[in-house]
Amino acid sequence: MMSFVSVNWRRFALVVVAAVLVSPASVLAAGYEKVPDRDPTTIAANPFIAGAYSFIWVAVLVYVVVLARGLQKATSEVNDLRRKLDAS
Amino acid sequence: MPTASTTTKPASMISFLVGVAVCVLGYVAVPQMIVGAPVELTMGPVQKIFYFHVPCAWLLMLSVFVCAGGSVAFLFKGSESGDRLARSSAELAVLFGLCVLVTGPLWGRVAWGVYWQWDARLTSSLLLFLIMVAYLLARKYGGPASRKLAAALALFAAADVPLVYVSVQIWRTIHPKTSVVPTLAPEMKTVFWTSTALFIVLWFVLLSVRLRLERLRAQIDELTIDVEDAQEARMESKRT
Repeated sequence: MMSFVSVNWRRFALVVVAAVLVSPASVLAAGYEKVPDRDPTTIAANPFIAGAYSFIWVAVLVYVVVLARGLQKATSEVNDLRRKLDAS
Repeated sequence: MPTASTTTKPASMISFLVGVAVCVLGYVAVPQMIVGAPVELTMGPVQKIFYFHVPCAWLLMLSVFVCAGGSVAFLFKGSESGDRLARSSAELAVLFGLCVLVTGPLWGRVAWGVYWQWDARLTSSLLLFLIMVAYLLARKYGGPASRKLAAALALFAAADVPLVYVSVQIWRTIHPKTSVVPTLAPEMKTVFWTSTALFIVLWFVLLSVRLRLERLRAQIDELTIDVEDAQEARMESKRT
């Protein structure tokens, strides 16, 4: 029992020490530096426009492929069932 | 008497041809029109995302309304075709919702300097998208009893649509207002309405194909019962 508690305390102490050591780094990472006089509209827009338009068509294409596979599977299943029904 | 395969062939041919036309327009003509459209004074070239972001948002709302209509027909009249329509349009709502939620932040990154803001329009749109995802998850994993639960979810989603639309008028938001479309320059209007028409045709094509899949699945269910009945009858006749 005693050893169980001491092991847990040791682990807890380790976590606290690690958190104290890491905290300055996390504070630094959360900080940010102001970019002087940077107007967001000066960011090159073309990759964003092309990316947005391409995303739509890729999403539609993926959906069409999923639909086509579903249709193919369902059609073959209907044909199989019809054959079974005709046989019986 | 026309069989199922003979009646669906012309319909599938038409949707195939319309689909090819939509792809040609979508991959070649509309991008050229968007590139050639005048550059907006305040936002610069990034405003061009508007030409496909707004049609996608409208189709998201239309899909949700169609889904809710089908769900009402299913809930109150037990309409199976209404249920099939609801499920098909729910998928389109998720597809176009995803497009809205990806293209919008890409525009926001350039126009606002950030991808996302917890603004009323953006948050209500995300909520609408999540309700439609919940609808599809309920349909896929909830079993047969989930159809009514999902239909009720569709009604909640439809109630969110007007909220999404008027959110820019009633709350202080950074999202552009709904009055942007009527005030477009004539050259911009041509590009916008051509793009919108393309997306509407695409929506109809996708919905008709998705409905065909739903009808085939319903046919599978009926045929499975028929096959089981026939096998049972044969066993019975063998016994006697």
